Amino acid sequence: MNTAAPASALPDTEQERPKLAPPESRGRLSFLRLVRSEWIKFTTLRSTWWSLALVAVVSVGLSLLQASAIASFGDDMPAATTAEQANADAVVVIVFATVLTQLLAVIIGTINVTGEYSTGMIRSTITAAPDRIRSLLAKALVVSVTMFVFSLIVFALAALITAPILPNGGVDFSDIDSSLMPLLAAALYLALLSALGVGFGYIIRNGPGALAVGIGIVFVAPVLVLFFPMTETFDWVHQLASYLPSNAGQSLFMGSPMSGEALDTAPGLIAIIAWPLAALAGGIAVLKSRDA
Amino acid sequence: MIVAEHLTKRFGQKQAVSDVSFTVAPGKVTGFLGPNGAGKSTTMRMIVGLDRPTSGSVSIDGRSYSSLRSPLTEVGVLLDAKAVHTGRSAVNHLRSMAATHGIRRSRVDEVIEITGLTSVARKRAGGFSLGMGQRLGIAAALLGDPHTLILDEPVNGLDPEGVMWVRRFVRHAASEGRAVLLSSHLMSEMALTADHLIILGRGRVLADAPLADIVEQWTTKSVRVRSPRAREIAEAAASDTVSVTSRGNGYLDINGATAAEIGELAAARSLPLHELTPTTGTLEDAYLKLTGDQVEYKTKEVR
Repeated sequence: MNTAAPASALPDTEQERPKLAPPESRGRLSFLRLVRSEWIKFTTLRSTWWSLALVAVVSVGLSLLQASAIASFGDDMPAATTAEQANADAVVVIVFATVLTQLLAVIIGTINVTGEYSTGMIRSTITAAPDRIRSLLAKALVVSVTMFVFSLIVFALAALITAPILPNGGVDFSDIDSSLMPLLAAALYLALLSALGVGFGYIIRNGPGALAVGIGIVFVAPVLVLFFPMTETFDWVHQLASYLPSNAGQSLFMGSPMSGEALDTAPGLIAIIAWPLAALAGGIAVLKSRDA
Repeated sequence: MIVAEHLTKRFGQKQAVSDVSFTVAPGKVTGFLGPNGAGKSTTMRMIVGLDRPTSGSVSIDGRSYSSLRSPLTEVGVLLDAKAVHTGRSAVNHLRSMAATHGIRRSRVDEVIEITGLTSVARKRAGGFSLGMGQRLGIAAALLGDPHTLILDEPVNGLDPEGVMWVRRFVRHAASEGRAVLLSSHLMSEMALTADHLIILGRGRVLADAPLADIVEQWTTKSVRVRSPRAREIAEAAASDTVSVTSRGNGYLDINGATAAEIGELAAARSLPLHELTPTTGTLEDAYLKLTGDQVEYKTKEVR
């Protein structure tokens, strides 16, 4: 223990009263600085790197499996009639893994918040930024932008690895609408789901509880919908199910959702944006009104 | 300067803090003293906006904490040693805190050195002892070199050197003109550190006065006398205003007369004295008198 140094750093005399510098000369709170702080917090936890590594492994691994499966059945499959069709197949191979990585996206967002509540860190966060809202927005921004960029990198990796395996070749980026756009949409979707996780984290605060709700909405709800018969009585269930985040997302970048009906681009986008916005708004309401 | 006005906090049915008003002046160490559950921590949490008062208000240098434009450089807060993510290293915790205000990196290294954390700065905070956690909390409070310090039980878990260091540190901070509010359950430590005391009991202010006044008001001065002829001294000294208690073995405790008066009284009667000791109460005596009655706290105006 280094106790000698601090002791000698404090002069014993109480005669001298140096004038204290004005507080703001020593730094001032700003949104950009909060973003930087959240970035430091995000990148200095091992759990972040484990989760991101898992996203990469699951995503690339599943793409590889899918590509190999297609290659082994290659002779039995009808050859793609158009370049667009070939592209669509290659893209689905890449984004197919989002069925699992969407959960990791929710988890990354959630534990980023609930980890602060369970350890007490949130009190440090809030005393540093007592208006509370800006730190929530900074956190959501850091998590979702990271998720977006990281997803694109992982998709690029998956595209490179699967291209030589696929019988009809890899993604042809000359047609942007059938190549880049769905990949961007999938990355955006994962980014927004991580923001959804952040919102649930702030609303529920408790890690397991927030994860249960997040996974329930993203993963369980679309499966539950499948149990409703496709009759007129339950038509509204299937209609509504189209707007579940995972169904809306899959409409955007895979063409068809797990349950519900495929949405057009505009309503699909609105749905996947509205979910995290609502969750973050709820998070702000709870954060502002409840004691930390 | 912290000014609390009629702070009240209710948790459901439980009244944690009731109508608490006080001022923490710059240039002094103000001690927050009270039994567990007296409302010290809740009051401190309300000061920094973690808990919202049910009613009443509190301001720091005239503004509410949540409206401060650079809170970390105006107020340093240590509420408990566990306001740190257990998975993050000390240095990264401090870096992330400093980043919120654009506090330079060299200041992070400075507070690590000041608080003696250099050897463990890169270790994860989850593995810290209570004392190390306290040091990290104090380091975070110091980051912005703030004018106001709010420290909840800062010496809790510290080794003797650490306790001494905190004492010197807060004395020094006050001497520079900073306002320091510090809570502790260590009465002896408080007696050495604080200039001014606010004693809380059951969420109410029981006393708010300079340390010396509190000790004077709430303890009785007495004179301890030992003499082989104690009985005669007792008879001679006792009067309407002077009470004498016999402690046996020739010991007497005399209240209401000075040592000089008793000495002269004994000399006039040629009574031998083997001991004549004026005793004053301690903060502990005063504190126990103030908070001792668990059923109903006594309140008394202290001037």
